[in-house]
Amino acid sequence: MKRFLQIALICISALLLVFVFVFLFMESRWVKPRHLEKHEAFLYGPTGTELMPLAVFKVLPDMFPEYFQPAGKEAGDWIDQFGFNRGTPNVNEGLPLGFSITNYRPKSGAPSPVQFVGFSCSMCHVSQIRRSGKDAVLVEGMGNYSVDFIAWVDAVRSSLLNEDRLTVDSISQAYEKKFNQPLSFSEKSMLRVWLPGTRKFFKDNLPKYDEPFHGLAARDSRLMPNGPARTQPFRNLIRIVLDRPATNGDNAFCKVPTLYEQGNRVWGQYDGSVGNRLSRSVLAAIATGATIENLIIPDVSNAVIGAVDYTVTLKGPRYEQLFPEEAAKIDPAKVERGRQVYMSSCASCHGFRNTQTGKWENGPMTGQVVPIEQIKTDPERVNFRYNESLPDALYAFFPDGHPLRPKREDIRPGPAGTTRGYINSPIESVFARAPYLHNGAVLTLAELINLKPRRALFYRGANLYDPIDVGLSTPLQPETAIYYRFDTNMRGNSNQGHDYPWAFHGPGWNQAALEDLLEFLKTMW
Amino acid sequence: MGTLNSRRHITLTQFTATFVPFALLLSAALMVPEAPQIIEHHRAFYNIEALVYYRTIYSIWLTMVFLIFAEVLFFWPGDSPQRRNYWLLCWTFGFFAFAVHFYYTIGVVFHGSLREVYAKQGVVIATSNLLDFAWWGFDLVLAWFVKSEAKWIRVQRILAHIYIPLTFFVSAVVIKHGFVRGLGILMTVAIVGTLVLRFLRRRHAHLIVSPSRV
Repeated sequence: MKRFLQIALICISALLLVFVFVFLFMESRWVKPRHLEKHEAFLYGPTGTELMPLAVFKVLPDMFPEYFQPAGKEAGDWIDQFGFNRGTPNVNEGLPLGFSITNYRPKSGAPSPVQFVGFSCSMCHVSQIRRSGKDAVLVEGMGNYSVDFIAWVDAVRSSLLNEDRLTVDSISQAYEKKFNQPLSFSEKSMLRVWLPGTRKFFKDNLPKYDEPFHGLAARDSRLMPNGPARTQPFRNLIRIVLDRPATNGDNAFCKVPTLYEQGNRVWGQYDGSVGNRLSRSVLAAIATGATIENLIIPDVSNAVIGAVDYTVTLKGPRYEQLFPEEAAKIDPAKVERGRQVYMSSCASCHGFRNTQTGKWENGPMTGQVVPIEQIKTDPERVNFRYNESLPDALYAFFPDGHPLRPKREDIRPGPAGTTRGYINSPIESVFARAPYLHNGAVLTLAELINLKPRRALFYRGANLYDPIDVGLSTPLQPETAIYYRFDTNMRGNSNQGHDYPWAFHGPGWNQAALEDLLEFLKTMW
Repeated sequence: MGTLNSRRHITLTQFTATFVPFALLLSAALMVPEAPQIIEHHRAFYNIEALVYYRTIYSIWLTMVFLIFAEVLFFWPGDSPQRRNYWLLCWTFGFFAFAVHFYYTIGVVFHGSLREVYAKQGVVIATSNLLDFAWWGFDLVLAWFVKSEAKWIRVQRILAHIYIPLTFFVSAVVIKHGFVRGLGILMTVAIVGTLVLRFLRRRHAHLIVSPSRV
């Protein structure tokens, strides 16, 4: 009997060991390292932000239509209602642009037998320019002026926190109903691990992140002050890095930036606070859910580096490509007069395109941070609480030797400067950068240069592009697709400041010169 | 100090008593890192991917556990076939665990590149680790397959049983912190205690067989 027991124990232990090694072998095959070309990395590359299994991603909007179709089913699917760019069938599983698919688990980056969905750079940095209701052109590098990312994240959080309706069984049923096939064993097994863990994470973070909004509340600017095309980047960094709720002074709204020809600037962010392109992207990834753990995975870090490299030389569009009819009507004489206005009033800060070499030439003040007292645009972006302590905390957040650790001198405030203000940046293809100012509070170039008065109240969403005033047009009342009430009198939304060349109807204001300038700006690329 | 040669008859009980814990603990060392509670609280130590990091750590813990038993059995006073067999089994399974650790460090973390190993670890530590692995493996081959009890085999075995724990002492107690340091201290206490016991036994035996010296 003793002998039998001993043999049984040995066999069981040996079998266990064999199982473990077979598992390790299989695990080593779950991830197939892939080298993405720069363009591919920008469009589809992972950023370490894996959020949920692909199977869940595909059925979640169907399971919670009240969260993902807040304006009702007739107003379009979740892709339309949250302003994402529709993907291409059979490419990247047909997901909207900006969602990456990997076999890495969230946060740890450990291999996974099932695919997970995370975010790519193209979610925020590819935009549709809508010329009419059905006619839109995708512009790579342009800040997505329609995506309501924070509201979408709240829809996801609302779903995950719904313990009654979101279970492994309900997900399985929804998947089977939609695709007429059951989830695989490994998908169900992963769900059993992923769902409780992710739910616990979101529940544990409720004191910092608060209850999510959903439905029409997620479109209400009094409750969700970001709105389309804007984020509160420091709010998440404060939560993640400083472990604070960031409830006080979290009005540092930022327009999703446009990324044309990043090689033309040294310091990035609207306040010139990060001096390295890669660090900027890494911090953006951290703010959207990447971890320092999964950012060291070669597939992830290489994709981030590749995407960043892609933007170094990424050219913006030309006006005549997007609006050929309007471009044909442009008067060259006005453009030439406008160029002179630009060179005398704008080029010293923003630089200009050298049409001989095709290169962007920086002006003497390009790259300088203009103090807030001087530029007089909305100050919340640079006056938020923790502005001074965040750089040191960010630096300390990364362990020594982390390949993506930013250099301390690349983050401001710090050794490289402490000025609170906004940076003079190159403005390549300025006509395709709407809305304007760092907080997106000015809809058109005509308003930005003070040719026309800046609107105090407008609506945002999937706005049509206005090729005449150059920027976004707005209805007088909210519409289904243009729903977000943007009140420039609310904190963080000011449309004041940057009164160049002249304040509206102020000293020196010259309507004809501004009309010429607008024509020139249409043609500048 | 008796040399433990290769001609032994390992009983089922002896094999069960060592292999079963080895298999269970090695399985745990490799699979526990999969637990979300562990993997999601990993903090990018040494910039190693979470699974690799914990498998590296847990496999060296397991190595030390078997090393402690092997060392104590090796230096324990007296001699018996049973003790020799347990020593050999512990020495063998300790090496297997060390091989797993070695694979994750050299093979995975350093991508199988000795140049990278030396660049990251430095000459002293890298050479010492490689020597540990080579010597331990060499002695195991001798222990299992060489019938000779030549003096050089006995001497090298004694030296291996001094050198290898010494390098583990430096690494675990002097350089590292936390649980592995505890294991290092336990190993040190166990080996020193065994040697003291051996010394006392020998002294006692000597006194008994040499009453004229009293």
